[in-house]
Amino acid sequence: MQQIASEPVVTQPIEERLELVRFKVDKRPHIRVNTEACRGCDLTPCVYVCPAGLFEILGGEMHFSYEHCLECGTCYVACERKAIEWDYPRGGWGVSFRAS
Amino acid sequence: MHAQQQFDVIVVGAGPAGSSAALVLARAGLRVALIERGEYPGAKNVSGAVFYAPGLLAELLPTFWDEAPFERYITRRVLTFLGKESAFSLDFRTRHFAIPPYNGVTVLRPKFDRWLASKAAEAGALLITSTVVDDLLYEGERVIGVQCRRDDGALYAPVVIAADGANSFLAKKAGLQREFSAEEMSLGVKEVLRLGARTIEERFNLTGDEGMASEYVGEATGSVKGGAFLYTNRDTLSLGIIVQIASLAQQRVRPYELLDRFKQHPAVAPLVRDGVTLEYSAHMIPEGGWQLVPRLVRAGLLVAGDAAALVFAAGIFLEGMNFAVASGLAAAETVLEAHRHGDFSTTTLTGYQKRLEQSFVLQDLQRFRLTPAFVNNERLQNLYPELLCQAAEQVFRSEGRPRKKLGSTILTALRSKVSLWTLLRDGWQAGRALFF
Amino acid sequence: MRIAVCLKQAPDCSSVYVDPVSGEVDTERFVQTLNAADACALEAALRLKEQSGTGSVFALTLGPGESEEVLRVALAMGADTIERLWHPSAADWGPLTIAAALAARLRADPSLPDLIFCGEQSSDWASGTVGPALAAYLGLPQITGVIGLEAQQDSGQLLLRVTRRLERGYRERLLARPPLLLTVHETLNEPRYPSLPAHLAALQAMITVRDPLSLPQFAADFEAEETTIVEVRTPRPRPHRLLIPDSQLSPFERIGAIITGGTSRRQARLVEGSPEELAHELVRFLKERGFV
Repeated sequence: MQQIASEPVVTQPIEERLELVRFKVDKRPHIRVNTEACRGCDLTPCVYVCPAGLFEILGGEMHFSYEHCLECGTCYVACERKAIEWDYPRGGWGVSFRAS
Repeated sequence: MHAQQQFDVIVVGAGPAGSSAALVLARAGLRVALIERGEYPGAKNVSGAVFYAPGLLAELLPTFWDEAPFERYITRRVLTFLGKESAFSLDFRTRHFAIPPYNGVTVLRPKFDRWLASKAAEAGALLITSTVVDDLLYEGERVIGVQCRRDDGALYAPVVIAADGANSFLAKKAGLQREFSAEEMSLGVKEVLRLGARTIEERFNLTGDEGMASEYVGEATGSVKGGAFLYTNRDTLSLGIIVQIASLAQQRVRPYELLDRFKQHPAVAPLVRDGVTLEYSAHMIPEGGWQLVPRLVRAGLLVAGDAAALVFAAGIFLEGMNFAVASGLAAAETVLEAHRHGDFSTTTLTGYQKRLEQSFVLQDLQRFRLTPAFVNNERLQNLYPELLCQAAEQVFRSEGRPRKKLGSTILTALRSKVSLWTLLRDGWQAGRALFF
Repeated sequence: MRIAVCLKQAPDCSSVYVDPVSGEVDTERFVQTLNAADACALEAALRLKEQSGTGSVFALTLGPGESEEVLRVALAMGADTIERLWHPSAADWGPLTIAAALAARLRADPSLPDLIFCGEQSSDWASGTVGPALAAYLGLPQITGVIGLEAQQDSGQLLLRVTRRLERGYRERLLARPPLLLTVHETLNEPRYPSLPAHLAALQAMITVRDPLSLPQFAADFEAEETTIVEVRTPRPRPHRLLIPDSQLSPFERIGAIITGGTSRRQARLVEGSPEELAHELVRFLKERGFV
């Protein structure tokens, strides 16, 4: 059967979406990554699965931020090397959903 | 120990499970601490969200139908198989779902959970917000309280209900739940779009407070295992995708890109056109089913709701809040019984497990225990929806040529990609998973 | 030492969303919290009390029932007494009337507090008026925009070393003695995270509510229109202007113009002389620049 070409998918940058979400950012990070363990990780699942796009490999090094974390926990479940230490932020801090 | 820090029962998590339990316990006159880590209940909670069987709560709260902040009651259920360029839908609607107790209602969790927790607080539970529970306190093998992340953060009670959500650190710390694997956990990402009540009613053929719950499989999530949903609220739409974490990592796709692809699918785009995004959210869902349900009790501790993986994700069923409420209520009844006997041992609390076994909660999960694996079948996810659409297209195509009879048209379409033997085997598995 | 702190419940900045097209503020998505600058004011008051070893902190708010949350936060953090003022008509009051109500409440006690703390401005309307107006109604000296505060004993009396924030990054250092009103900037300190027993006690506390209209010294002009809202919109940063240097200039001068952005150093001139001469000079300067 002949396939009709699809319209290319336009994706909205994640930062724009996160602007709609309310965060109360604690000074203490609630995510810790053992970046040593990330060296040589080819799969880098965290980079793809994080719904806030918080993980990134830059120049072969793992970089991450915790400020816009949606607190789902997907990253530590996906990490096969168990390099991600993940906890909830302090009570009253972190993300607050309002319209979901 | 301050008398102030001693309670009859501590409930961790003011979601549907925790607040329902706290409501029943406070009404029975117990001193209840209901601890919530968000600034307000619902701040951290995300669902699709359809609350099926809301009658569960209406029985407890006579004013439920007038007061509860639900959006629309579901009278229309749609299941759509998405191909790349086409869609094949099963569309069901009935007025029988439009009479209280409704079969299902859509809710916005920050509003709904806040309301439900306020009902527990009105009944006398002490709602402690902005407080995260880090660990359980033990005396020997028995749980005797919780440790909160504040100075002097110990709280004591002879029994604790852990309704602390999908990540359920407490169930893990208590040794009831194991570490999750990426195969049994799903990630849901969601957007709420404002369309206006009138547009929603016209676009989805709804009248008044009627609502629609629509679910999608196939091309909805590309080659990633999962599905998508679109629910109507009063003047917004909730739409999102739910994908298996392992598959997402394997396919190396970002969840929000999948969400955008879904929104731009030719069968979905006209439905969300002109919608203004109000919020983006994400949550992990324990979709592993029966396999993932942990041991539910130990001395002084019961686990309820998502924390106990009581989520019914079985193909055409996608339910969690009613399972949470029912488990919260069963936990509360068990705690009341334990208080009557002054006995919080594993033996007494096992009554909770028995209550759940007698209710739909564990019966549904057990009866449909094969479904999660079946739903994640590669062909069901990525091949059959497309084939179904192709078959439908062959059936409906008019080319000015003689037609074959339908059976042969459909079989030709199906067998182009899959052997008859595989088809029969998958059919048999579908039967075992869902039908017999 | 008696310290009073005036608190307001306001939408948390990160929860305010202005529709870029209509300019409408989506109030449904507000998360109401203790105004950030007010939390710093409270923290400053508590630290002063703790440092001096004696005294009390009284937290006061004017707002509807929901705003009791901020008093519970204050109690959990360490306030000794709390009180809420409210009358349904207060929903329409502007900052001057609110300040008059607060002043009337503070005057209702046998004596005024030694120190009054306010947040510099609230996260919603940010008028920055209530603090200064309250000082005026009470006839107290005031220091606004406090970003640094140290207390010391000076021959048995409290002496405050205060750093004030001015425009354009300037700072002002002041010495002050009570009685005094201070409005505090939200960078002054980091408000404490209450202990669990304090949090629990605060959640269960009874809160006194007073009707400001019943306060004998409450005098306000309710007919006066204090504030007129002309327009609400999201702030847009001014477009960044790139300087294109005059091509007549030498390359050296052009590079100089580019790296300085075309600005020359700000010029200041110090004029000395008698008050009359100075006034004349000032008027001459203003005329010359076309200001008058």
